Amino acid sequence: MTERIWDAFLTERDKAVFAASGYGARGGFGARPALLVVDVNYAFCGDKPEPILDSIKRWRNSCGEESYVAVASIARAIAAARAKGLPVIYTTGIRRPDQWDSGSWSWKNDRSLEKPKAPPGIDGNAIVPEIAPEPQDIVVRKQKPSGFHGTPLSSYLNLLGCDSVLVTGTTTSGCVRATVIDAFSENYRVALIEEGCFDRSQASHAINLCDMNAKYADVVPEAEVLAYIDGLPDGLFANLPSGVAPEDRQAAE
Amino acid sequence: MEIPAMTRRLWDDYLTDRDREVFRQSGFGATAGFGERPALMIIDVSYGFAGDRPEPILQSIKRWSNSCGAESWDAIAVIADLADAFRAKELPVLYTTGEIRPDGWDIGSWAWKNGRTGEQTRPPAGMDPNQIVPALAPQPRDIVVTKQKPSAFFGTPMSSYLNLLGCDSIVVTGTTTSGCVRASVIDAFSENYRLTVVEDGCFDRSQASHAINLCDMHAKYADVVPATEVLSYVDGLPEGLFAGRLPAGTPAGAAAAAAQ
Repeated sequence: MTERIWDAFLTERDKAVFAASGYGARGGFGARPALLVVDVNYAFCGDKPEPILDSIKRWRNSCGEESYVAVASIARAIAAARAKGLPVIYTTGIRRPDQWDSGSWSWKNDRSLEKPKAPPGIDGNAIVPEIAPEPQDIVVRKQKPSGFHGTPLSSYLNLLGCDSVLVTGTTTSGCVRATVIDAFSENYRVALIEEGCFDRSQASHAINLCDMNAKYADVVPEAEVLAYIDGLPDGLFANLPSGVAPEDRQAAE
Repeated sequence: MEIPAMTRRLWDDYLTDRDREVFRQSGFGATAGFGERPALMIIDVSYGFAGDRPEPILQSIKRWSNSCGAESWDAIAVIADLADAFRAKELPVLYTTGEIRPDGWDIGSWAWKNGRTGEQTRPPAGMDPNQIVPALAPQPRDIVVTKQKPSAFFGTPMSSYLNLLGCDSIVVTGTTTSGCVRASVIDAFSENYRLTVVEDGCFDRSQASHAINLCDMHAKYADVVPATEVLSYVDGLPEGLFAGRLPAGTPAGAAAAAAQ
């Protein structure tokens, strides 16, 4: 049995219980996957790779330099998905300028209403440029942890005819976890790319991967997901967004 | 970093030193505070998750694949006290428990990650895994919501019931901390309810998952507090907060018939 990132955080009894209770079976990939990239923006990555305790001085939600290690992995997954014509769906946050809609977010964090001490003109909700969305990609704006809560994500997956999601992004214990629970509840097959997820807390990262692998999703290495994508038939999704406005399409014809 | 005993939390032993520093500096874990119109939520405290009697977890899961073992019953005693306090103050008590078709078709994604899922339709000695344990049996004025997925809100009328009651906050208990409690707390947070998670009223089959999920929820979504703190909060609430809003607990025609 290969060592998993969460083993160091479990008690001996936990390992025995997980083994005996039947959890952590392999769910398996679906036949029509979408790639989800959850909240990989400046607010969660910082505006450059630096140690987390430095980065959170300016970006209170930052996950530090591990973010950018994961961004490189996510970039490879995005390239593979685009090459195969699979849907690539991003989420990121959206707020009113007066932040009225922060709601419950402001109750548990003393720094929630502070202005980012960041280079001027950088929007915390902008996806980092290394993996900037392209015209045919889909960007879903959300206000709460789950990519599904109060968003059209579920209807987009229906429209595309997806049966499964490949999940990457941040934080493992926050918006990734919440999105995975909702995808599970909608009866999608869920796989997480282990190297493509990151968190500000090392223990939370490990244990949330453990919980999700036990109950809701397969937590698999990037290489395995890339091989799976590579082995899928071409042309699975004839109904991807064209990325071109109708008037521009007519003009081009 | 040495942590003073007063502020030591259950999850500290599971965190790295860097984690503790990150949580301290990033502003997470502030106290949200209680609301003014709370409901008590008791999540999935059924035979399936508690077993049919207190016994060590590795014994209990031989018969009940989802059991959390002996710790379940410590929490059940705590939850019973809270339920009594909420009922005495005429505050809403909401339960959740699972529901599946006899043929198991609607198990759906649950079947994909657990090699023992099929056993849930073959409970020991004809017992119903979804039955709330007798120590917490719902009373006539309580509200029971059946669900199929982790969150109490997913595919259920929970949100509309909280609107009907005019709740602004939820005190959460039950199991598993890392499963249905966590999922319900995320959805309640997303609906902008104030949340309290009762530390000694929640339980899980995994010790590390229990601790870290409490940590995550306390950091971002809820205040994780001991039951004693909730009991004194409930004691201090005004009477009659939910007058005319709670279920009568008797058939709608019966009260009128009895009055005549």
